[in-house]
Amino acid sequence: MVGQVSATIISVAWYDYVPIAIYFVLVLGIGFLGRRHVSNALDFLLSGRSLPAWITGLAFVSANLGAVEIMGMSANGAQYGMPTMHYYWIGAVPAMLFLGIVMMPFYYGSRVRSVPEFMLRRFGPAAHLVNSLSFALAQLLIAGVNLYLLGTVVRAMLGWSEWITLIVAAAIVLSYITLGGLSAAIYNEVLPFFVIVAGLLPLTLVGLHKVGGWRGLVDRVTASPGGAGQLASWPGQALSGFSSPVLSVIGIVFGLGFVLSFGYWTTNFVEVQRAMASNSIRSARMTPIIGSFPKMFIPFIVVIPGMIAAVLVPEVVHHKAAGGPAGQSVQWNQALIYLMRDALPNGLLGLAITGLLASFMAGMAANISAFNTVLTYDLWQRYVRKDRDDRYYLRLGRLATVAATAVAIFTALIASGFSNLMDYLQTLFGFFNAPLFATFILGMFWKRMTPAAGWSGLVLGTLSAVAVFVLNETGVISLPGQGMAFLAASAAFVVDIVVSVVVSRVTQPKPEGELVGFVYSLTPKERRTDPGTARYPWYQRPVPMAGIGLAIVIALNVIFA
Amino acid sequence: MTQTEPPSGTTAVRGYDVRYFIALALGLIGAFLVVVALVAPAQPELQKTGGLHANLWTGVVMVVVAAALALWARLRPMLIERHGDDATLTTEAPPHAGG
Repeated sequence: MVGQVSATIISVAWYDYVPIAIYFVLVLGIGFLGRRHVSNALDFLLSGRSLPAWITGLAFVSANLGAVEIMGMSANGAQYGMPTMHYYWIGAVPAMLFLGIVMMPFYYGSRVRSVPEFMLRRFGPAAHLVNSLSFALAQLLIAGVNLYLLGTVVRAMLGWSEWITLIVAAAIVLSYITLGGLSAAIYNEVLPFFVIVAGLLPLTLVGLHKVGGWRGLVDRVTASPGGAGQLASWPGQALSGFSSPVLSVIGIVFGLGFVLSFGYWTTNFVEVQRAMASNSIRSARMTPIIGSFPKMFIPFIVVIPGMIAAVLVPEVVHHKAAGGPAGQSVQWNQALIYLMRDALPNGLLGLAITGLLASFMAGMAANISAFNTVLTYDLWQRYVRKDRDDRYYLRLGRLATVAATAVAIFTALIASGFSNLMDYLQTLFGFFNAPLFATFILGMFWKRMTPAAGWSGLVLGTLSAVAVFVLNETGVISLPGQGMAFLAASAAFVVDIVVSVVVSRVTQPKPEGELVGFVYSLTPKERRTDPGTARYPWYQRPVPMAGIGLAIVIALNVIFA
Repeated sequence: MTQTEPPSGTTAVRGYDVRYFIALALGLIGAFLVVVALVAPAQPELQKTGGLHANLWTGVVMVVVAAALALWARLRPMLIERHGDDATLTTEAPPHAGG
């Protein structure tokens, strides 16, 4: 059953384009200014160095609050309800606090600036090559997710066919990048956060008003398919796909909480670099800790609208009653767009669309620029053509931008095959982040781990996650929901650790002198501590603030259990 | 509270403070929503939102937030502290009292 390609989901009034225009004129304008008049102060701001912790903290969350988060988490909210909160209160927030308290002092002290750089200097070229290739591939696939979602919005507005939409959306992103949309990085990251909140908060409030407040939502969700189980976050069997509640809790805590989330937040240097830009260990540690405060409340404007859509929007109610079958014109991913259609008047609709477009474009632009850097400098310059001038690599970077955008059209088609994008995305994180996290953490704390263990653990870890995926696809094991991704990630993690330990036993480690700064026990304590911290008031110190964050997130877990 | 001169060794970042930039975007979009609320016919809006003047409320809140951000940026300008080649940007009061 294919929906009418010519029908638009949302009917846009001419003035809905006004906020879109305001936003992009501002963003492209600042990018343009940044390139034309490089004043001292502006230059300084745009380079993103040494910013106050509240800006880097917001940029940190904002870089993650992209397409995937908004559409994926609302899709998850529509399909599973409150168990989706685990992504925030078991997943992201504890991982961000862990990053701020434990990992950041080490990163800052070791002066490592990227994951490939850490791999190269800790394990040598083989692990670096494996990691760079897998990182480049992951960026292309995730750029496809962003492009697909951008296309979904454009399509809902204009009703074009999928191919045309994807090609046009790709062209828009490409011109955004070339017009300097990336040069004002910090502006581009902090601004979408405010615009998205300004769009999603009214959507949530109006939606709640329409279902009769919180009470009304509770009653309606209880009466809907999935029932009261969707109102409590635990044990979340529908989300994990495990029929046993105990296994479900273990799956969520270990698979989602530990491997996927800790793995994502501690090795995602696209985000960690926001914190490294700060001027002291204290500010670097404050960045994810400050970021965790908005992060823990974001599900209220993302997951709750998804749940509202599932009881309010006729198409989504129908889809849910039918058991959410694949291959229909309605998908879980569209839950938010349908709710926007039903609850937002023209005007606010334009604002909400602006927020979505802004985050998808910033997200995809970030993926493509990360791909560029790795392809040009980590792969091409190191392994293919070493000694060319800067112009050569700049030109290569431009070619890579165009090529990556074109490839993203095809990876977007892969993404479009998943009715709930979170299934796809968590699978990708299982392939790429889980083994990386295992290698990273073991290499950091165990000085005996050898270069051969570094690359072989990564390769076999990734392969075992792929194996779980294939077994699930071919029906040998059957885990609905996101349980497959949790299992794949856990398998990748365990296999990576086992392989690394076994291989390390039979191969030569690097001499200790070369590992200073890359292994915890060999890094001098002075490089990991900030003596200035004690002079600051408690609300500017990492440990007290992380304690408060932890207390709030525990309270949220208990209240909505 | 009056605006003070930046302490010696620091330069205030005025025009390009990210808070002014956010305030500008939120203020313009908020003002746009208020205009829509005043000009566009109310009936379709109220029907969609179940009786809430959503455009007006959101617009007003956005303008207020924008004003607050701009005020914050004005009262506590972002300072670039220079220590030789090294420079840091801060809105925090220096930890050693005074300032």
